[in-house]
Amino acid sequence: MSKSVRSLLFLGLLGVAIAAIFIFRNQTTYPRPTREFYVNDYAEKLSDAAEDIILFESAQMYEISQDYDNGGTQVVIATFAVESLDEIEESYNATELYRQWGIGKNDMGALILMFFVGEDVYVRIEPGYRMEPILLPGEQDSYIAEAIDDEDDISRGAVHLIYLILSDIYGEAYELEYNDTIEVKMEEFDAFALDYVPSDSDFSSIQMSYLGYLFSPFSSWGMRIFSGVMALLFFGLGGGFLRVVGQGGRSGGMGIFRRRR
Amino acid sequence: MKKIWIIVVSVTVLFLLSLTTAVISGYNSLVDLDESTSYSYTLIDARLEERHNWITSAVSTISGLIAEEQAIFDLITSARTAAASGDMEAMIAADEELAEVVRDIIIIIEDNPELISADAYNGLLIDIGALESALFVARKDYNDSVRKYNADVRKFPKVILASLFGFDREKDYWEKSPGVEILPAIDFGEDE
Repeated sequence: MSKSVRSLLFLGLLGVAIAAIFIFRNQTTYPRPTREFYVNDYAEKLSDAAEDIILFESAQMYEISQDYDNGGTQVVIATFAVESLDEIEESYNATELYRQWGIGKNDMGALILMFFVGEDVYVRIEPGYRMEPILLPGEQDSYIAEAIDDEDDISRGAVHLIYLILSDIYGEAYELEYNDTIEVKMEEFDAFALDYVPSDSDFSSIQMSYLGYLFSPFSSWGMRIFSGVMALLFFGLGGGFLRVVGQGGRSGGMGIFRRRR
Repeated sequence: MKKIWIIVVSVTVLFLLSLTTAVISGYNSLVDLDESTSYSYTLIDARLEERHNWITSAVSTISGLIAEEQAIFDLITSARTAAASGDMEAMIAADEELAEVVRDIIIIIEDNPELISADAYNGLLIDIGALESALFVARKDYNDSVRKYNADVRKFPKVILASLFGFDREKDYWEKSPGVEILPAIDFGEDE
């Protein structure tokens, strides 16, 4: 590959990068959802076992609901560590965050926000427009009370809350129910958490193999370009095919916000 | 000579095609904006209706503690009439009056600890908190859509298209108007 072609290629990529910076500069006021989408533990308060279970249950809900007319339900949890209650009010708008992430197909979704202010935990639930008749404000409150209020282990509380909400949605939206009671499922989670072994099937090993191709002195330029394009498609510049994404859902603020009692 | 004609016709056709495309695109954009404001307006209407239902339920629940029960029901009736007529100023006035009613109901509930302890009253407070939050979002969404409509409709070339196709030149925001008629204040008597 000649010098001039390489220079052109470099300039082209530089142009794309600069354009991307300008395009996304003012769009993102909140962090983007993680690749796993359903679990966004920015406060790093949830155990790996809890994250795995929430991810599995929420992804399963989405897949199962796809068979129904009002399907495509996504239930997403996010945690944030903040300095004060004022910071929550000033910097976090649940409706805006919900819409930015586009949770759920046909407005069938729910966003659970957990804010950690020192020892205090505040929970905000934001249902999508079509989820409002299913997750009524009183029910949201009782689920938080049952799962979080008397629970010292916040990971366990988050899993419990997810089970309660998913169980409600399965029952009311799809006339389905879990095979086991919530109590049994929580016992299963406790056993799972006790013997938890982190999964190896993350993206890092795949990413490393792409990087290997990209920078290997034995790769041809053709192979490097191919690997670079594939890496961009799958991992870079806004996600790619392996990223779980929102389905364009919107919400209308019909949620509750309260402190753990 | 023939070549010149071909060039003139080609340029004219291209110009007309571009113009048609611009008109169609601009018109469709105005329709979208118009629909967006109408949709946002219906969402406010729906939220207000939910609040009317909540007030009716709340007043029935704390029936013995309110002196002006009938006046509240009259307010709700006039609010529903205003919504049905599409008179935005009357709707805004009713919205403000009923917001006062909601505040007063909450004060009554909070001033009566024996009520607070009951699940039903806690439920009322939780419901109205969520409802007021949803109403706030609905008002904001409507005003955002109106802001976008009003800005776009004044820009060139949409300003021409708006006149040509009879679109509103400006839509009203959902905000307190100084000319709004103030309905009689509701006085809650706690002695009854």
